Amino acid sequence: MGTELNNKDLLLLNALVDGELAPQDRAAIAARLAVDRDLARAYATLARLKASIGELAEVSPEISLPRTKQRARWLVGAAAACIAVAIAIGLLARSELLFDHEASTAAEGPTAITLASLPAGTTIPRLDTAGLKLIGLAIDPGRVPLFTATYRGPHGCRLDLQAWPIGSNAPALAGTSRRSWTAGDLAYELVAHGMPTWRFVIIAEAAEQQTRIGSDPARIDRRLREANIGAPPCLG
Amino acid sequence: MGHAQHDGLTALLPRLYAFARTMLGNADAARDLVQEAATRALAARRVPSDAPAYRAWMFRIVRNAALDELRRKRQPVPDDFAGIDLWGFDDARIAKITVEQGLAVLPPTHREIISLIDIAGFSYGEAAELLNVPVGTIMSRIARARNALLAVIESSSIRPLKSSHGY
Repeated sequence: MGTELNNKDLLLLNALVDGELAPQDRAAIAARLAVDRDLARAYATLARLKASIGELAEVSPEISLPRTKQRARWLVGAAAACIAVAIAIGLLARSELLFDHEASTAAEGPTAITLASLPAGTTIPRLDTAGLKLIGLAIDPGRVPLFTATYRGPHGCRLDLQAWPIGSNAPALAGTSRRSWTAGDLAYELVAHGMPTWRFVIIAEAAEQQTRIGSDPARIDRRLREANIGAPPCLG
Repeated sequence: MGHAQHDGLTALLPRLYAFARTMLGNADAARDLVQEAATRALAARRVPSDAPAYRAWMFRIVRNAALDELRRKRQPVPDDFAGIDLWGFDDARIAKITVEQGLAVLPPTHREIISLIDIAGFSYGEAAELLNVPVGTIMSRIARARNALLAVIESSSIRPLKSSHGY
């Protein structure tokens, strides 16, 4: 057991967990965490607590908003956009990565990636609009998971996504926030590392929507843009 | 909806609801409160134009309504909790169920700051502006509140099952 956690360290650890430390303070405490196991353990406890609290925000309330004529018009437009993107998603082919990274953020929203080497319907979401680039993709057709995708943002935010056939058991990914869903015959799991929960919830919803046929690309694009508003830097 | 500024409201609803539920400790009351707050917001003549201001505005509406509800109910709540030893805390005790139970018995001030930072996702600066206090106060409040929550979790008789996620 190390020295007693003093009030200043307690404040620093909490601020670190919240991504509120200035770079020099973050570097200083990170250096201490690397050599002080007790301090690192206290940090892990706070990070886990924060992640668990954040899970409480994932419950969807049954709240309906009044609709107006303007909202109804928007829904008609969104429905048309859904049809367009559903057609576009079906146009990709061959066994390599079938998309152009630079063309991903078209005006109507991000275009998810499909791979001919993976079962039909397997979709790898694009999160570029939220500032998260796909930096790694491990594909293993016929095994579990089918793929693992890694996304990274400019401030060190990292997300890992894996998918596997429903009914199989995939190894758990480590992370501070997670979201699981099923789409078609696949189960997906998205995991974040140190990302503020509210931001992760928005991004995960957008990722999930991209795996579903007929989702609204404009809404997905808007959600990903919202995830960038006031986002504090991740610990990276 | 009548204003383009309300486009982000649907996205905010889960966090507004979670915030209200944590503040009130009652899911039904929280849903009704957020429903009413959203309806009032949609009817408002003056709406903040940028997204961060809109978010703060909505949370302020829900917070004020929640505080009114708490004052109306005048529920007695304990104010002090013994500190805990963060070094030796058993992380396996931290789970959604123990956190939810723990939050329910914390004083409103602790619940509020935890809700704003960890559920609503406000930065310290945004929370300071919303509560009209210095950023340093937010920093110490959130540390105290989390410490109190860990103390409650530690003293709880609830033992969460082992997580299959391994974190």
